[in-house]
Amino acid sequence: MYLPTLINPILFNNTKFIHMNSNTTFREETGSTRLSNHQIRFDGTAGRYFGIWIVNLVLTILSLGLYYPWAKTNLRKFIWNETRLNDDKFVYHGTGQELFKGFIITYAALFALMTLVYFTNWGIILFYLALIVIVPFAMFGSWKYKMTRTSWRGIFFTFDGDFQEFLKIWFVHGLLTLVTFGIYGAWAWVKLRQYLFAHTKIGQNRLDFVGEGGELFGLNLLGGILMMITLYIYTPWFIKDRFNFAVNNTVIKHPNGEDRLISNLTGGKVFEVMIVNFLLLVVTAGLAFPLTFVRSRQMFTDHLEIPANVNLDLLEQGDIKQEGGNVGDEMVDAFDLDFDMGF
Amino acid sequence: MANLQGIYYDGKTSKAHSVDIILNANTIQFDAKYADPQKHIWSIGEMEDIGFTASDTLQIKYGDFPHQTLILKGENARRFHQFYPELKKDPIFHRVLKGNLFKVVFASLFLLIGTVLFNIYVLVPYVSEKAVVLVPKQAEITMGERMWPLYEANLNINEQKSQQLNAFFEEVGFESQYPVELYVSDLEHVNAFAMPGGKIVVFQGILDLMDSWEELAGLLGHELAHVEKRHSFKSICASLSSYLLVSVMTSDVGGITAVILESGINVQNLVHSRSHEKEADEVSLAYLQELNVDPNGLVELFEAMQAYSENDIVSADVAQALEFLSSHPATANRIAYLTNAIEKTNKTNYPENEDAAILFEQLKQGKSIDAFIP
Repeated sequence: MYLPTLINPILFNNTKFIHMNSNTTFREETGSTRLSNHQIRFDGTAGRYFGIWIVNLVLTILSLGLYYPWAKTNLRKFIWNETRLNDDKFVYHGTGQELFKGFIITYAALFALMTLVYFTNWGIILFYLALIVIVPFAMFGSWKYKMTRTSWRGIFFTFDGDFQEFLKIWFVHGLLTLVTFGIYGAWAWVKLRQYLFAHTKIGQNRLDFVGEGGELFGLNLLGGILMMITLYIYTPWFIKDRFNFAVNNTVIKHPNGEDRLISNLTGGKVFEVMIVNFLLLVVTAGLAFPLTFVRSRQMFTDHLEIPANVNLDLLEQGDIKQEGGNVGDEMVDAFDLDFDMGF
Repeated sequence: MANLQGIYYDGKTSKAHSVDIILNANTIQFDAKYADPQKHIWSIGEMEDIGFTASDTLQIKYGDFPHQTLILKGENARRFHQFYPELKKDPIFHRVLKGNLFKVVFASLFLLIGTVLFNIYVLVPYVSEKAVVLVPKQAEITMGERMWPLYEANLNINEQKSQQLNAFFEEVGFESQYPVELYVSDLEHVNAFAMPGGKIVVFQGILDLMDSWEELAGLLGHELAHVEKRHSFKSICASLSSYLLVSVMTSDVGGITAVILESGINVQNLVHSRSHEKEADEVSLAYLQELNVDPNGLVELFEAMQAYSENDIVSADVAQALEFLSSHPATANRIAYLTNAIEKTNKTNYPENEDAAILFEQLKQGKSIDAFIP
């Protein structure tokens, strides 16, 4: 009846996972060793995305913006719960009520700061000082919140990082970035990511990030130069390189050893998705945005694999309680600094 | 009673357990095939559907953290739903996503437009009006002072004429609870505007249209009324609220910071509501009467502006004039209600003010320069 679901984005995928589905339907508790890697897929459809978008929009406006935390929760639930690792979906357990607290605190703080900026001379200094603390707080809080509210097969991600440690890293490496006029930024980025990942676990399996700042710097430099030379035609390959750097250096430590996540995203694929998305948007005067959203999402998730070595049947919840500060979460959004790993 | 197949996760490990589920009236029942079999009886009221959007899969959450999960797929999920339609779930989305999409889209668009209009024309102005009263005057003055440098740079302020205008203001006898400062801009806009806290800018273009000092007095009374009644501040608050609203709507929350930092609002093009304009006209009239100044000057100014906008003098100027006029009550309408109000006073004799007239003549000298229209 309506167009977006007719063009089911699943059709754009390779058909590999469909065979895989039929093979794994009867996975039993035999602890069998798999031959193929674990696949991640995004099953969301443009139609459902549009439904969520429109409801979010209407309610947010009706409530003069107060619905925003719930809107964000709805969108996240859509993204998480339509993302499948093998046959099972991730589940997002965050709630609008939880985010609302952070939302109110953020805006109250922002409003107070802005008032000072307007009416006093020293307000602007305070604003930047506050920003220096708020940004790492937001990154840390958001990551912690998202992780501790995510489960797969009933097993939650956990996070055991310490904000003071994170803040220390932020200050030291932020300062280095500042005095090197941003050149050190690549190393700082890697360092922060490394901290967050190394304190994140799914079940008993700890993550880690082993990327080198130097490699990222080289990548950025080369990408920047090539994009300039090619008038940005190189952009898809740069996106691919950045994604692959982030994924291929992510390590999962499990009882049988350590393995890196695998990305098989190609520049050609990114190029194709970008071109088709662009054309879709132009031809439909922007109305195809739910479809392009879904296509972009799939481009990343569908090229992410977890090595077969990792036995996903043996995850253990351990003795944990659901927890996680939620103030940082809204702050990240207010300052547009979402630190997303990409699933 | 019916039997369905599902997969059970116990919340302790990620191991999948295939289970046969027996559906009873208020409970479901299944055995998980551990080495040591466990019997599970879940009551319907405590189960929650957390599948969210996927229609072919049912994910049921049960118990406290770390909770247990039961997953049903395809036909099993469909039959489960049939059996327990009252299963707890995220209400709005299941309704929206399972409803007729066209109905949803039209209803939401209708609601959307209605809400936006309501917010912009009713709620935001009302809240701004009420909230502004709470802000101390000094804050408003400081705000005006902070914004001023941004405007001053582009206004081609004429120092000498500004001094003359301030002298004129005092000569006529205007008084204010704000520290009023007047400026003349050499630009040819047919306009004048008031910033929050007392700064008033008059463009040479509107001075060129005037024939008597009473007209200028009428204009200054009007702008002073904007200051005294805090119209600019109220409008800024209203448009800022609208910006915030739009940012939130488009999820561009990051943009809010930018908007607030840059102040993002052009006082010059600020659209005062018609009620603000009418109030300013009326207050101006009251000032003029109190100061014993012929209020017909205000009427003559409007007549001159009306004539100006009707004659195609220079198309760009017309555009400017229309821009100014569009935000005001229809000029003819204003002339009518002002004339009416003046007639009611039954007063025709007003004293001449020589000094004001001389200052006015000085202000009219010299030519405006082409306005830079961004």
